Amino acid sequence: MTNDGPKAWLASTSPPPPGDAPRFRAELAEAAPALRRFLFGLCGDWHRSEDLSQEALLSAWRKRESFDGRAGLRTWVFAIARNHWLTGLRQQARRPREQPVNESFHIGPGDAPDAAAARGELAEAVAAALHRLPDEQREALSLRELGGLTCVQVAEVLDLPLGTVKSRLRYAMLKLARELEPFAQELEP
Amino acid sequence: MNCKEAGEMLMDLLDGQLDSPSRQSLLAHLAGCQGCAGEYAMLRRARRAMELLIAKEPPITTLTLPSEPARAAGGAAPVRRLWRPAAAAACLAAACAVAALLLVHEWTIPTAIGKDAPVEIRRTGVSLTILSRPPEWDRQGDMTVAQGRWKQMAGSGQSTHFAAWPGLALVRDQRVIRNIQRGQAEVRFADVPAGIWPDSVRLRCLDNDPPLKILEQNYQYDLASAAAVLAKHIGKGLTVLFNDGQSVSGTLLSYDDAALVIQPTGQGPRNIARGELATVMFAELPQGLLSTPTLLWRLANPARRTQRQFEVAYLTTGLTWRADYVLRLHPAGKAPAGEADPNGADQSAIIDRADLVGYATVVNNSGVTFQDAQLKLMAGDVNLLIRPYPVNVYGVLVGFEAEEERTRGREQMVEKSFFEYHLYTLTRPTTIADKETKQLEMVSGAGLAMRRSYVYDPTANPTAALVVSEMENTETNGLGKPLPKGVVRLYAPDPDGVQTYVAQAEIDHTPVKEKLRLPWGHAFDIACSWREVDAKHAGADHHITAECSLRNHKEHPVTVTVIVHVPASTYQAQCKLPWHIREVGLVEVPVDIPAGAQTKFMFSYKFNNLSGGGLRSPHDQQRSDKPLTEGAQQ
Repeated sequence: MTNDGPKAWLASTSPPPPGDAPRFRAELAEAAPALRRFLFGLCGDWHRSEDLSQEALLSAWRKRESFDGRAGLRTWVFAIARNHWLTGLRQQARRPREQPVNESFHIGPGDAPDAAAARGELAEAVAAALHRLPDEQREALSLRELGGLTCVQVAEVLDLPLGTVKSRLRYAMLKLARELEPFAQELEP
Repeated sequence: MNCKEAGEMLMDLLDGQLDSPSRQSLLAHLAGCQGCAGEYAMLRRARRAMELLIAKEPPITTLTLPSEPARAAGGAAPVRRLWRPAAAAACLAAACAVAALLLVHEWTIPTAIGKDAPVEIRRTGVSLTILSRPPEWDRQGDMTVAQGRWKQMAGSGQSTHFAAWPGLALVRDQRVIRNIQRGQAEVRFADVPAGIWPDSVRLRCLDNDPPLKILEQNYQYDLASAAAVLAKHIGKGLTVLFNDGQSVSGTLLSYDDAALVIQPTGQGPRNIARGELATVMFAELPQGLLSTPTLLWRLANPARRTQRQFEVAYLTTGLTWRADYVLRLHPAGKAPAGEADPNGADQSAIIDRADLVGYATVVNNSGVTFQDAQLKLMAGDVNLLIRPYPVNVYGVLVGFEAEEERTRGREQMVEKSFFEYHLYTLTRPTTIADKETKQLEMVSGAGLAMRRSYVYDPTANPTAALVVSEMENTETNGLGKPLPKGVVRLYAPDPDGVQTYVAQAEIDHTPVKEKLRLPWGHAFDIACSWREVDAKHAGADHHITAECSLRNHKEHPVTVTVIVHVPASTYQAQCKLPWHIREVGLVEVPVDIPAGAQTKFMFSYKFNNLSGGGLRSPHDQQRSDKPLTEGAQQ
């Protein structure tokens, strides 16, 4: 028996038929905050994640006629966003590395959790620790924990067997917890 | 249940996805297995950490969706119906529901593209109060605290000398900010002078809403100058093109004005003279460089209004002003060149008539053009510099809420006394462009009477007498305005009536009712000589006799005041002409010389190094007006 809460229920309702633009639009709007959280998990910058979400939402909107409804709309949009992100990464690899603009808090790869801890920002430490996870673990964890997808949906987006997704999630969370060992007290539920 | 099975089920337990029997057996295992219990605690902490990240999520600011597509052209045409109250009520209810829905949507995502326009700041007005050069600046010797402060503010580590006064001004910059949301926002406040003192920035709201606050301020002055870009590229790659068309790529090791040191890949360092270089190419512009000086603010806007008016006041260097005067002598009607003293007391005194115009010369080297600025110039020696922080002058300037009485008179600048100083306010806005020197008329007076006199000080110039003009700064004399320190240039009509530059003199800040003394130079037609003719010494006692000879080659009589410097221990002096003691060690002898004549006199004095002093003149009691000597001192 699964119980993923109202978000999962929303995602599992039947997708809007092609051509129902207002509903499609409403569902995109519904998915947008979760999408942004997922993309924050990937890029580590809230502003950038907003830009990436914007791209993904527009792209989904333009492609709405091609949405066949086999997967849920949410899964579909997340897959589009992930593809955008990966394409961007590949393009970036060809270009000289771009320095992130430090507008809000941004966590770079070299920013160790300890340094963030010195600033007393637990959220920053968490973001830094997240950023230090291997890419595939971070991706799965962001989809599940930040994007609010179920394990099945994560497996759909990543096109992986459910078991692989589950073990990835488990290892990702254990590694994250180890990274955040200094904050164990603060993180006790 | 073994640990492997338990480990695979821990995530499901965390997600609450286990059925009751599986949950019970897993919990039983965890109770007995420290390793698995520890792992479960770690998973719970990781989940908590991710929840915390979501809790700290900033609100969505710019995310938008495209607007609704237009309804297809083939849709049913609207049918005209009779208006019925029931239908109207239904429509209203539906409209409300839609509006509520839209509001909800708006709360999550703004629905129109471009609705959240970027924050913009525009200047609506500016007022400048430029301070005059303080006297400390001219002080010779070691760098004063003031100059140290300047050096620190200017950030220039190269020079220890401050030849030129960098200027100081209070800028009150009125701006309007648009599209600022309620809450906190990062705002770039650009178009500020490079010489701004960031610690003097004060923000004041001009509207009635709860005031904006600066939570954080960064002054970004790392401009993208050639040197700054090079400095940021030390240790990074670049490509240089030579004049002959060849190129080298490598790592920049160092640079100075003459050369760059570059290490091409796989080779030793290479010193390349700047002269050989045609172009230096950088891979990218390094981060953190700006094209203009910018204040980076984190602003808190407690009001709902997205358009706010505010004023920012700050001190900045780069704006200077000085007073320049032009004194035009009236043409001489007849010889002597001037008029007789109206009082008739001194027949040989010469009274000139002249017009004075004072200009304020404003120089803007701040890097910013101030469009339509309200200009105020402050005259007086503002003693701000000996303090390490400009707080007091700031308080004085900002605290002074001048009654901005708009004078409709013809005068361009209105003078008001303010604290211990004088403030000259331009009655109309003016634009002071960057790198501009602007002259504005400040004071003027016509037909001023100036008394001309001659002073002969053998120690200053042994052969000539100094010409000094003196005038009263009073309203009866056509002036009566405080005159800021500055340079006075004298123009006089030549025999053909053409105004010709004659001389220039410097005046100090001159209040109303004080005398203005202008030493011009040396008189051509008055020849002077001074020589000691006898010196007797007996122990500590000395007796000196000198002869002074004055020849007047002018066509009218003149009075020359001869300055005699005697030792402070002088106890007796003798002269056939009346003489006066100006101060200890300084004796004046006014000498009348008829036209074309020569006057000679002897002056002898006695002094004793051990028991001297106490010199008295027998003529001082008779004397009412004091001759001019200050000019001769300069």
